[in-house]
Amino acid sequence: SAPKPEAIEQAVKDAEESCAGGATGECAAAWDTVEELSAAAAHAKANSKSSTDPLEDKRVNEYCEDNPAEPECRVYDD
Amino acid sequence: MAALQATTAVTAMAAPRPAMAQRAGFKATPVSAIARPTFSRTLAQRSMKAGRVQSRVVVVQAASDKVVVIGLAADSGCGKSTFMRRVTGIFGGEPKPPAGGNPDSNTLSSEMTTVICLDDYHSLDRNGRKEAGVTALAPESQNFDLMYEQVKALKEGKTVAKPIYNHVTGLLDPPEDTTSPNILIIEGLHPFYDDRVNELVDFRIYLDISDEIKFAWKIQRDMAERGHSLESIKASIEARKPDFDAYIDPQKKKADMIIQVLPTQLVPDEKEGKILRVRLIMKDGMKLFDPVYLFDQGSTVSWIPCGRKLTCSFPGIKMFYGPDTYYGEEVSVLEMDGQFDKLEELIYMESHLSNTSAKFYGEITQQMLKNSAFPGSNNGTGLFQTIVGLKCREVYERITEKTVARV
Repeated sequence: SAPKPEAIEQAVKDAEESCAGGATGECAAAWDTVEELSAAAAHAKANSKSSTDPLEDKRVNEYCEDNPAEPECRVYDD
Repeated sequence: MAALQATTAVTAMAAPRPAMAQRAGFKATPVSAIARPTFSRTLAQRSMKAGRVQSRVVVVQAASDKVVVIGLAADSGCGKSTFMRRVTGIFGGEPKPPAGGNPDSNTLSSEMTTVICLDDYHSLDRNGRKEAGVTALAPESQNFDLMYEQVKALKEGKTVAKPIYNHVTGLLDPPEDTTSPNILIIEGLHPFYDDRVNELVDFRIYLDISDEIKFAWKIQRDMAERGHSLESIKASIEARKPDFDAYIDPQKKKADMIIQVLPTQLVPDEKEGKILRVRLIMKDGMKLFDPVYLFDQGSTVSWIPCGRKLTCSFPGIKMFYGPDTYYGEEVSVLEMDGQFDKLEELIYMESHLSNTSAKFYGEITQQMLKNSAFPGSNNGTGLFQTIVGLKCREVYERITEKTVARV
């Protein structure tokens, strides 16, 4: 699952607030949270990205995993 | 020859001839790591159509039950996951998260490899770090005792209950059972920080991304996607930098191979981070691997492959190879600046590299083609990540073979 965009926005806001008083430990920790959430969002996106080849698309693969007997999913390895 | 024949004759008379396979001369030769076609005409083969040729596959076989530990250190957003996918791809099989477990698990396992994310050993969760005013980069937020214990147990072939750090919620979730693989890859911020853990690692890799490129990559990752402002990306890098410089960066001195990503020198003022100068720094004199070289080992070579034999588009490609020192240690450096547009360029360059640990001509190119959708596939990052992946395989083979010989 991916973090919600609102959660990232909120984290950025928190970080900007906690850094108003200069570079402290809280400031660094707050920006670290932003980084962690952005990285998690980027990873989730990379995992869900559909391929440009329609037959290699993740949705097709998932469909075929569930319904291997459907005509569009049959592969004969002979 | 005559003596040999005589003994054979004597044994033949004294006892019934042993079965072919039991006689010393007919012992089955050890199966080589390259998959060779068998020439037995099985039913399946007879029915195989002439046009269908199986693609060439290298199968790495588990020669012993010794676990090899590979460590990868890098900051968040530096391409660790892409690198992991390239390395595990070389050992074959699709790495998958543990089935039926926590959907936010960070572990990926395939037949040969298990990749664990060291964030799972955070001692403080997101809230705890916030209250203590420390980042995830600081050693205070990491439980090195547990990390050492569990990596050691996995190396000894035991199963451990490893905690899960949930990157979405920022909480430490209930542990998952992790079984001991053939190859254990530990990736994260601090794989070499603690000396006890560092000693368990057989092969150490560090991804060193320069500040300019890190900035450019985070702009691409965060600005278009999530509408972060330029200021917030800058502020984020600045705020984490003191901890990064104090705790993460010094680990590169301990690494066996370092992939350094720098701005290009071919195009003045390239700010997008699209064209890269990538350096592969390899420690010399290591027992487990030999450094790659270009043309002549130990010389200093600067090579522009573009010319009559190869047409390149702007800005072209520039290679460099030479000996150097890195934090007082002897290293070999292989460098590539620029990017390629076509396959011919890669196979042309691969044919001039030596000691790549490839099993057949064109393996690097084949691996790169297989993963052509990954970021960095058209420049030195993908090329050097693939080479380091092949070195991981060599390290694995040398370690396991050594054990087999001793037993």
